[in-house]
Amino acid sequence: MSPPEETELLWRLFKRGDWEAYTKLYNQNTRLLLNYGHKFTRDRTLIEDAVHDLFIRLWTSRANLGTPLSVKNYLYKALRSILFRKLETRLRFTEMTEADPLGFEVSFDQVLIASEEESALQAKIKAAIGTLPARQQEIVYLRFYEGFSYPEIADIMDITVASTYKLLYKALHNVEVVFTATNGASGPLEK
Amino acid sequence: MDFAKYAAYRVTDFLADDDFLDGVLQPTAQTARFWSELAERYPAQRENLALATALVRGYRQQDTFTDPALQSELWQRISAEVGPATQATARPRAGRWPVLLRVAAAVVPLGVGSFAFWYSQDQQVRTAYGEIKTVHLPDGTQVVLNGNSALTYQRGWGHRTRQVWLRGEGFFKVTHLNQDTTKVQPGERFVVHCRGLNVEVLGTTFNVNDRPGRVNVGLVTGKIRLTTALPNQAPTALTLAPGDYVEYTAQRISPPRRLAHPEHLATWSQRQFAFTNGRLGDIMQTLQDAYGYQVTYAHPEAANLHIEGEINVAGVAALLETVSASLHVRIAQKGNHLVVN
Repeated sequence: MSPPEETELLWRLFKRGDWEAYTKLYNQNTRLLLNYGHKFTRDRTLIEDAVHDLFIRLWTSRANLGTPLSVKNYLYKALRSILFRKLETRLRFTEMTEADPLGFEVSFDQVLIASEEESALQAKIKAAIGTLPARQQEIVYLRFYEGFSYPEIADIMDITVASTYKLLYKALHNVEVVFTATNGASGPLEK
Repeated sequence: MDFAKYAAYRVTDFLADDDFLDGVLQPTAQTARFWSELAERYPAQRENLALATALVRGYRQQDTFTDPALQSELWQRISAEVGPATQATARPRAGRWPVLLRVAAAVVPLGVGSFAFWYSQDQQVRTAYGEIKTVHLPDGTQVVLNGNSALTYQRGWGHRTRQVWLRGEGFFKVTHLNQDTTKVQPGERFVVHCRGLNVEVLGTTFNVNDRPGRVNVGLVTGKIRLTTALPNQAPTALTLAPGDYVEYTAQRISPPRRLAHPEHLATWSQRQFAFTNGRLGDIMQTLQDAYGYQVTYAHPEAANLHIEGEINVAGVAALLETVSASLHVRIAQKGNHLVVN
């Protein structure tokens, strides 16, 4: 059985109340979910609470769940909205006036790069990604790290598919700008 | 798949293309053949293809967050709440109400009043004697707590001044938030409160040792400001630079000493003991404070003996051996009691 087929089966069993299947779903997905949560906030307690709420809700409302196109998609979407609500609530009590409580940040600090050439490229990538606003960082992450499709990204981020194309192009264009700036007048991205 | 479509693609076009990304993330023999044939038909595109591929691969070399301990702890929590044992006692009926009741118990929607309460609730982490624990604060700051220590902070942390209260010893790696060094916003400050002494930092690694009778602070990197905060006293303030080390006793901050090896301040966090010209009394005091040993001296003057030079050992046993060998003293150990002869 292929991994997606296995996940589908687990989902069906879990919906019927199979505790083993539910355990497997937790074990297969939580590491990735914690990693995703960590992009929004470094507060481990908050991330833990969000994943906790997600899985509790999953179990208690299992009878009413449908069959999502992809389980991973469903979990990411649900976690994102739980985190959003928690972060937004917290902001209300601290008088911060940021429009968007959902920051998103990818870091490249702990990676050891073997070759000098790769290291130079890595530094440029880090610089370019660092200039992106939160939502652009997130779409780049969902697409290039997690491999989600445009429709899946639209579902997770709660935007239209047309908006995902626009958002991704904005992000890629901003990356291109940084690359051409550091490479001189006409960089490779422009050919 | 169509080759011509890609003839004039720029790097950003490749990155936005699903088939291209698929070829990089989940290559198959078939797709690999397609992309190499494309490079042959359109040699002008080779560089764009190579760069787009390198960008994807480089981006994926990012930091990942994993915490297996947290993951299994969380599972204990979840299965305790909704797991088979609780289900047995709940005796679910066919109807939906029991499920809804359990939801209400497990995930309590917080009203405004209770949230304010939650917000100001203290979180405290304590360590037992000999225990070393790392605390992760909500802003990413890490504090390594030595034995017999306690760190307290408010749960609703973050956008006002970051504050913690320390008893015992902690090595701090503070997340740097400050954007403009001439104007420090309240939310960027980080303050450690000890007995009578406040340590204010901007983004920095430093060691604070708050034990009965004295507080020692040593700065490794960054910049910190010390203030004394006792009532009925004119506040004193002192700014430290990397390598500075001060002692606060009897309500006064000593003039700063320059440490040759400030990084030694944190060696205890790796269960290492590092002393430069260590005084026996101070060494034994460390064992007392953090490890809970009781120390008695057959000859009290022995406490003033110094071990010349540097010692750098791992573990209490090695430390005692080194001390007794260097100073020609005998240290007898009975359980938790150390007697220095």
